[in-house]
Amino acid sequence: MGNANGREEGGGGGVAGAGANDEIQINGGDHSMSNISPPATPHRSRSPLLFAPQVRIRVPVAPLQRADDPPLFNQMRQHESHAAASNPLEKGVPTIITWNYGGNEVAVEGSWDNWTSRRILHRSGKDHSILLVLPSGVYHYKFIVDGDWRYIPDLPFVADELGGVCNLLDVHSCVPEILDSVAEFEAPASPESSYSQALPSEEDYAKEPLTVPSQLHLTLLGTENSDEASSSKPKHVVLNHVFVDDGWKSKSVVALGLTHRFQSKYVTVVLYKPRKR
Amino acid sequence: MYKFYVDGEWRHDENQPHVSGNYGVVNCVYIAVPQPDMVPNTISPETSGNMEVDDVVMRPEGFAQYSEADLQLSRDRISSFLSTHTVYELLPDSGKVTALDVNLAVKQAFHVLYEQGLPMVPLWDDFKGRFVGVLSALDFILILRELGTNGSNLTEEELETHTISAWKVGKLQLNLKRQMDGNGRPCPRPLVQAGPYDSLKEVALKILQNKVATVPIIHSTGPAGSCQEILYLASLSDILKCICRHFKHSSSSLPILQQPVSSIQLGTWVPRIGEANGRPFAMLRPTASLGSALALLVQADVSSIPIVDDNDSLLDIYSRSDITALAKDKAYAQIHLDEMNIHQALQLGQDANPSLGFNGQRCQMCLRSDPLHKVMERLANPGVRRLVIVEAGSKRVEGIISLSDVFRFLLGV
Repeated sequence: MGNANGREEGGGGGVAGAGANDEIQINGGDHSMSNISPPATPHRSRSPLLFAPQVRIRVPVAPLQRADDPPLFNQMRQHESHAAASNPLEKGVPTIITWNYGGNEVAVEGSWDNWTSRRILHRSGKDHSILLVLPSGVYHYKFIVDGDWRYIPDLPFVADELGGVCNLLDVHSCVPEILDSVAEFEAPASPESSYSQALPSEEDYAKEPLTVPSQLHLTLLGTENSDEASSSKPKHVVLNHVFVDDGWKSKSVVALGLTHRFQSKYVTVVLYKPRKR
Repeated sequence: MYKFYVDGEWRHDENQPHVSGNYGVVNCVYIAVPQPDMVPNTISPETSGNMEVDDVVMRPEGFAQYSEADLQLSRDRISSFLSTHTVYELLPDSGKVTALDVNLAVKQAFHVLYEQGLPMVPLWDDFKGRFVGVLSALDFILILRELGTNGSNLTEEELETHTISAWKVGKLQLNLKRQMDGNGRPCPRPLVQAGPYDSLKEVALKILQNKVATVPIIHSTGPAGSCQEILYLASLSDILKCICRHFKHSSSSLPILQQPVSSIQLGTWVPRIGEANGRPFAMLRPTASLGSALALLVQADVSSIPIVDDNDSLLDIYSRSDITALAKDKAYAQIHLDEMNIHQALQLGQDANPSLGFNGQRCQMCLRSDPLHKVMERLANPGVRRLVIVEAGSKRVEGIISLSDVFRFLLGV
């Protein structure tokens, strides 16, 4: 069973699991796969030593079902409907605007079309709401509640040029991670075995390498440097795992790659190092 | 206004300009008051104080006047926006950064830059455990020029073993406006970097003051910031994109953005005939040698040179980052800088679709009548660092607007 938690694979000899269920087998001896040199001191080096794009696997494996992140809702956002984008060049993001303070007829006007159109919100009891599809950006908007201009003081607002007050809407094309809601879970106990901090000896190197958890195939490394790659978020399981690419042409250069999380953003760093002779 | 008192009588001079007024006919002298904003950018700031009255004739086409209040209001709003937003907002949700070990050979580094299509990379020093500098296209231009000169220490074979760190030490000897330490010896410039919670305004000022294009964003943790994580490489175009995104739908709050760029004298303009000559404007023909282009990039301290035909009409643009195209098929090993001309050098860079004649994708243009917000939106595209101002139709080059020009204007520095 592969380790599904995000624990940093730092210490030497710490790969757990007999891996009896795994279909993947890494053959051959000339890989340097997941061989992180054990730190000489207990101090865990969080250096951005990162690996290279490719993980060398002989047998292709079907990718696992992705772990579903809990859907993140806040008052303003919903990602289920398929509205057509208003501007074909920019991807529209479905956005919900709600008014929860009563009233018979509530409408909204905003800077998304330069205040030209007024949209009436759908009423359901005391709540009024409307779904808009807007390209990413920052917009100003106001409500018209039974003929009066109103704004919601609990949401971000700003004074506009004409002396009135508008609410501020910031539409992102990607939902940022809301860290508090990432579910905590109990990591399974490590299987029974002997664990130590002894460095591997020669005979250890002669053995077959341990099997790689199949989730590690889902790394972003190796994807082309394109916009699609940058908008797809890495899966949490591949974070803080170091990948090596030693297939670089001249063999005198080794590339290391690693993806880690900083707050709610993900950074993939690739470091090219000279190979020591 | 004045009048002559000749032998007891008020007289005026018929031959001088005169008007009728409350005091009869009086002579008058027209003095145009030089307004600082209207001074053309081609004249360097130091000489503007010596402007003769004659020189302050406005450009014949009579551009729309804008008020000082509009400019100040726009500047204040932008400054306040930049001060309240941090670098963290620039970070993409899932980004990629490439770094090189400082002990990598220069030749390998060149190839990495070329294959990854990067204009610059940060340098990591294992021994020191931190980022110590950056490697950019300018380094390669200097290396190639060193290769070309006789009596230099660098040969092509040595490129395979010459490490980046050795190059950086050798670069200090090249006497390139480096800082001096207390004893007058050139000392290495410390890495210009920023943290993820620095304000956008701090980063923009850092970029402008240090005259760099990109700043690595490094998050330091651990005792005394000893553990460094690199997060992003930020440039002015990212900050500009942030500004445009925020103000796109409330453009009336920044009135100066509606002004045409010719009226605010943004950028560097080709001096017109008869004008007081400021900085000469660098342009080259496609037949000029690559060596002369590189020399011009270094000496004029510009990041790109428009390539024009005999009528000064824009054909292409050669930038510092184009130097990495020489890594293709190891062209740098076979050519002499003076034997290859710019046209051939640019051909190297167009592997997929060699196009003859004008390449509109590579050089982004604008007109002198384009409003500032349009120029800003174009510059906010990643990879676009400058716009060439051309004349409509003939594409004659009139000037260049770069990202740093726009930011200096918006921040008032």
